[in-house]
Amino acid sequence: MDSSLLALFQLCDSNFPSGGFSHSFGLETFIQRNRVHNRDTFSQWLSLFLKEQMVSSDGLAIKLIYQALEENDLDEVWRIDRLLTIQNMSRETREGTRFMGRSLVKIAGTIYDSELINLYSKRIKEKDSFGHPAVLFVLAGYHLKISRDTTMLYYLYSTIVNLVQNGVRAIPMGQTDGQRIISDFQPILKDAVEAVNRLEKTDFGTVAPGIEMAQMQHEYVNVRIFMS
Amino acid sequence: MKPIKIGIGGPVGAGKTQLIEKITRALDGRVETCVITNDIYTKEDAKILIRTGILPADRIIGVETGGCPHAAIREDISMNAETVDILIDRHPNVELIFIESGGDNLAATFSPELVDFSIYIIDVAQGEKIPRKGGQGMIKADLFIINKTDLAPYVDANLDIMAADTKVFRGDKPFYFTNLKTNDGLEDVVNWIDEHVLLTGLNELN
Repeated sequence: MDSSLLALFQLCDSNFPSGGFSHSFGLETFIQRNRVHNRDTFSQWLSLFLKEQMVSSDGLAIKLIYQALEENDLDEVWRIDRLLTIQNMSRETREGTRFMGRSLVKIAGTIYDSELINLYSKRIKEKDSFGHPAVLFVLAGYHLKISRDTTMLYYLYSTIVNLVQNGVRAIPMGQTDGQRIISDFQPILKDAVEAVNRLEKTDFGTVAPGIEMAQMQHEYVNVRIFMS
Repeated sequence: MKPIKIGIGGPVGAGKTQLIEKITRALDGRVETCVITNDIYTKEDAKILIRTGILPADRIIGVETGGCPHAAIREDISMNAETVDILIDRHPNVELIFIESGGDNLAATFSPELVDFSIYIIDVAQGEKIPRKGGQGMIKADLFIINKTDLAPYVDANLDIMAADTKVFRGDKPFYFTNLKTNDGLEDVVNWIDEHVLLTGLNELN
């Protein structure tokens, strides 16, 4: 087996300290309204979140950044990084990805010997970049010479796994239901990668309004266990 | 210079928020302080501190921990560590940062990557047997506090037994009895912070 794939696995592992357990990205708003309350309703939300936000924002960012890296166009990498954060309408989700991105970069800087990741870390310290998990992930994938689609697939997978864990805790759902969802999502994740590859640059950041509104409304939910 | 970080752990209702409120008041004007609170369900503790405490609101940040208060101070400190950076950015001269853990079970210990010192606080009314249970939070903390001593007669708790049990698990490591409502024992805690954390008086010795 390819050892560089193992190096990327480390980043996908739900044990990797990204702070993801503190963020629901709007899921908690739906839980509070009792719109998400069991496996079926959670799966519906997760599927929408993946198809209507992850594909056109994080997924497409990975595709565009990977292309820019292949063309050695670093300005474009930092431009996409910036758009990824500022296009996000919800303050809490913006801060959440920023916190997670910064945290991931700190550890990634010590485990991967990558000039690009070090440069990204420097830019974040100097406030030239915000920091975002998707950007760090694609920098790591490119550094490890993992293909673009595989990098994207693993990123989306790790996002889904994190949200399922949070769903199990916050709804709550049974652990077996949680694992069934992850298993059921395998073909959906592959479709999501194909969907990203059908998108153009102009599609970047188009998100379903309901998903985004719930992320903004999270600021005002009564009981909060998540920061976003 | 980097600020010193003190973790405050202990079960719900033991007096973590009040301890921070009293210490920050005692250190006011002398030590520049900020606070991070990790509530389990809300930002209530941050709000209480802002309302009752001496610190202005921009020195207190509440962090939600996704129902995992223990993880946020040990296995994955990311959100707290980033919040520390934000506070330093906001107040570059901050000398001391308290990180209040969400009230959790007796096993909650702090990552050495997050804090420099930790204090674990319980209260008498939770039961005389708490020290005897040998929770890791109590054992590993640099300072252990048994609060609400005034309630001992009402819950049939024998403070001598609590002290003896504490010594079994903590050996010679310090612990104090307090009643934070009346500030009983608060001076001991503040002196401990001065001597062991802030190293006050070191210049005079030299």
